[in-house]
Amino acid sequence: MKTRKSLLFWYAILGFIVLMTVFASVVAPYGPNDMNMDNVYGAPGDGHLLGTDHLGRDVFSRLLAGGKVTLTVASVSVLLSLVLGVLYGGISGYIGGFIDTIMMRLLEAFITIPSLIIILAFQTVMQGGMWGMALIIGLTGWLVTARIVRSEFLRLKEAEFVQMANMFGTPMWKIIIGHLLRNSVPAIFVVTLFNFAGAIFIEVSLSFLGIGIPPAIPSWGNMLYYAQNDILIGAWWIGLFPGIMIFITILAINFIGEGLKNPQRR
Amino acid sequence: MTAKWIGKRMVMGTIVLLIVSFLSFFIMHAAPGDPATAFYGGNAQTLTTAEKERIAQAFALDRPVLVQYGVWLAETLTGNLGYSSKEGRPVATILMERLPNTLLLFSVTLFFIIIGSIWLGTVAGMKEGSLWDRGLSTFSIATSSIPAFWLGILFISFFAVKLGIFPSSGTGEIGGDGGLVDKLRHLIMPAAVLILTHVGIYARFLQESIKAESRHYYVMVARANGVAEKEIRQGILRNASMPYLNYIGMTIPSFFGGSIIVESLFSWSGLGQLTVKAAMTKDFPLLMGGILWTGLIVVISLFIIDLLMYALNPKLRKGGVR
Amino acid sequence: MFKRKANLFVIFIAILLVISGCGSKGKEDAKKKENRLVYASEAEFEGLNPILEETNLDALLFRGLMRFDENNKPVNDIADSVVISDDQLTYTFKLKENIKFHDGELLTADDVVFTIESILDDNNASFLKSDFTEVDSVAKTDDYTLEVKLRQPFTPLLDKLTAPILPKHAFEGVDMRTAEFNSHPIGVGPYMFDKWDRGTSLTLKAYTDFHGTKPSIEKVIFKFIPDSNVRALQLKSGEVDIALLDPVQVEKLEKEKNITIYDIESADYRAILFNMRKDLWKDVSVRQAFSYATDRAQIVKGILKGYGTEAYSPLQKHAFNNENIEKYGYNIEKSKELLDEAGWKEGQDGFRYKDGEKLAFTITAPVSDTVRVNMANYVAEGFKKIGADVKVAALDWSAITIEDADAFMIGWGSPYDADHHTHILFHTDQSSLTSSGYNFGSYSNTKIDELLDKGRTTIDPEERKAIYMAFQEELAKDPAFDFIAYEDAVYGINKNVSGVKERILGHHGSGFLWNVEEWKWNDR
Repeated sequence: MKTRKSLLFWYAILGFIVLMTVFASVVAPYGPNDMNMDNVYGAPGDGHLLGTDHLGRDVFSRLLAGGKVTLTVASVSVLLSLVLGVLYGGISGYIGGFIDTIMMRLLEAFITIPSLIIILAFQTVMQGGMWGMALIIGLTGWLVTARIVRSEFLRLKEAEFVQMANMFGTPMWKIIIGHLLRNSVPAIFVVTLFNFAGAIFIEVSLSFLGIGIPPAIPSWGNMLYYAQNDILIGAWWIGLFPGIMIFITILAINFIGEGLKNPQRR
Repeated sequence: MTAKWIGKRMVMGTIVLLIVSFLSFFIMHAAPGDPATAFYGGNAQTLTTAEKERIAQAFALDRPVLVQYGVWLAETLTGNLGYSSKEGRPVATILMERLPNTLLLFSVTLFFIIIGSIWLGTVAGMKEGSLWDRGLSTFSIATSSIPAFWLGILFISFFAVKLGIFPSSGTGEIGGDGGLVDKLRHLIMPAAVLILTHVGIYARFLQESIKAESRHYYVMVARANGVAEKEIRQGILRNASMPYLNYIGMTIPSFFGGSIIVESLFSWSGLGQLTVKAAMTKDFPLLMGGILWTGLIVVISLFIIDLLMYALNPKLRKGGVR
Repeated sequence: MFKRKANLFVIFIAILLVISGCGSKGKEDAKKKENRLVYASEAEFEGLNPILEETNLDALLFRGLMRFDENNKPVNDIADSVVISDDQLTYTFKLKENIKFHDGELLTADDVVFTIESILDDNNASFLKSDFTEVDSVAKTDDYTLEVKLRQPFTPLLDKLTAPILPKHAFEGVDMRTAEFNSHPIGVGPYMFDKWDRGTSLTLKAYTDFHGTKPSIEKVIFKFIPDSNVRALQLKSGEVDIALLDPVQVEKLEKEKNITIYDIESADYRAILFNMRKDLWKDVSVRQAFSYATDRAQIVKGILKGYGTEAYSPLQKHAFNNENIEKYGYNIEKSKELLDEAGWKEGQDGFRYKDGEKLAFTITAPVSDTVRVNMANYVAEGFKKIGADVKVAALDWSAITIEDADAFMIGWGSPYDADHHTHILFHTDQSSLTSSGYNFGSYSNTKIDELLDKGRTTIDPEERKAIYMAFQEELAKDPAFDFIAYEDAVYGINKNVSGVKERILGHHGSGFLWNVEEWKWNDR
């Protein structure tokens, strides 16, 4: 009962953040790039709810617009890694045997390479924009999904209802989609949720280092990148709020993920 | 048996390194200019045509890409990683300078994370349902949701700017004697950030495994037979340590990723900061070297953890390979 | 067992705390005693050969025949006396005797001849070459006398002869570009090379045999800190003693008890360089349109926080300044008119198009220079008002090739002779593609070329003034840059340093250390 209530609470929080960022252009009082040299480093309040930054841009409006970018990148990349993961894990788990062993050994090898390093390297060569970034995160983020899908498939393959369906001569694609995939959905959903949190982390981290999304596009990571310069000046609001937004978003995702994971385990 | 097991692990590590090396090669290949000049960095401009031809021949540039990769790999294996295009010095030398700092940060943080998480995890795990137990779950989710570098920014603005107790960045005083005390003072903030953002999840994992272990039948039997509580605890912990170690092994790569960003934030002159800098300045030979070495460190740490698990777990030792 | 581990944990933390405690005290005590000056340097250098690369160490390591004084006028330094022939073509220099290089060798006329010849040698590709093109020959008469002969009268020669003198003996049989000297320089300046920790810092130590005022501070350390924020932080914490500050940082640091702020006028301007190799800029009215659409007053106010002035000419801080040229005051209407006339028509998306091509370009700026990046971002946003889609690429210096950029946020300016930072920037022959000059945008205008050539060979000051006034007028008509603002050099210095003498500074506040040998610590 208690878990459900708190789960609902975190759903509400996440939903609120997503809605606010999706409708950023409507909700935001200013354009994310409107500059005002008369009000540089304005403190919160006074027409600017969360203050202004070093170019007199409204932090609140940028926070919403930035969220849109960050969450879009994360969503696209997660979708991509979902597809890749299901394909790889599905094939490996369904076929099994020697091919499974090979594919899993390869996967294990991939998993040991810090993905941030790979993304860093790719960014240097490709220097893409927002979509390039989503692509790269997606291409490197499917490993865990694949592993989960594969173990679910292996488990389900042995399940009685699947054996039965096999016996009745149900076509292969029907078994895969109707039985194996459908019954793996809860597990896939949880891992995708955590992947989503991971993708946000990666976007934010890389943009913070200055090699993520091009600085002209506001994203939470980019906002933090600029905020480094503002610490000394005492403009705490520029760095604080994007950080809090990232924190709350990931917190909500993690709590939801845990909430969904636990009933299963027990 | 042991030899076979070790052999198998080694093969695995080699495969990982091969993948990493292929990635590195791919980057160099995609980089502007031809690979040979990329290999020689800034010095390429001063090369004469004859020398360039010699390099082209040496690197088999007229042959298929795979042959080129082979030639390059052979060169890399002898320790020749090329020259930094910015500094003009051998990449291996530059990396060597940075390695101790990274290892220091890595080992200190990992040490404290392990000690801290064992402590927190056992306290919470042994008292199921207690405040500790529930508190740790929330604490671990909360701390692992904080971006480490953001916590770092907060730390800098508070401890360095406001209070001025710790240096905001760097690895040591310049012109100083490079003493240990000085280095540790610079180490505290980056290490604290990494420890704080990681100790929770590790503790939580241990807590969960201890709880799972405690529910096993053998624990009940032991208790009923009046085995001393202390011994029972030790037994539980020994059994729970397996999945815990495995978990550490699994998360080391992402932990390493996190430390790269923290190194950059605090200008901790280690491999991570170097790699990021190389990426920004498009110093491809250096970038490749950094990636390769990072891969190597991860592989070695995983190997050590595997060895530990092997030593601790009689089943693995006798029963052969997982 | 776990109790023990918990204890261990506590003990470790305690040890760390103790270490941090001792460390901070120990450090301060140690620093009190040490008579050294730490300068927060924005960038590291590739090498220290002063005729191949300009660094802010040059003033410390080297000296020239002449040296700029407090008013930026050249006065004798290594030269003991100068005699100029009536036809202005022969300069005879008598050198001070007994000046020794840092390695103990005596400086003679041979070294001076060698230096000038090296600058002129094309193999060395010295950036100083254009300063000496009028030199016909250099010859020594005896060990301490030499003659410089010119092709035609060249007024700025004494200015140019502030060029550092290199020791001939350090280059025997070696190629200058790759000489050992470049990472271990030898000069006659007040400070000599001590050690260079690549990537971290470079240390100079006082040279006791220096021919001028003997330096009081024993060591000067250049600590490489590319991030302006870190520079300011370390100045505040006392880890560095001098740092060039960003304007926005000044307000906060002014309140610090241990720091003195020097707000020094400088001849250092920021401008958008139009790369003339890009077709868009071939049309002069497009360049003019963007100049009109630049809101300089707001930039000075918001980004420079008042530490600067609006710019319209490269010689604005010079005695030859021409106030009556087109200043391109902020005028959106005029800008739109010019674009309309040039055929750039507004499309439905609000951007302008011509022959199906969008009015778009990218301004490149060095990422480590926050002020330049901010300026670029601000003007790019402002250019939207005239229907231009302008992007900003903030890159690391080493990833920038100005010749390949559409437009670049450039910084130049010199407090010295009017020829300095004009000829090398705007003359056709100084295109960086074909020479070692700094004309990165391949700007070319025959009238400008003529005026610049005439300016350097004319002697009469009034005549020269007229020439440079005309030059400014022509440059305003056919702009090579969209001038934005002159930026004051605001330095923060440890309060206990005395002896700082202000003069109008050059590019990036360079020259602030010009009289460092006269600086003193009051408390050390």
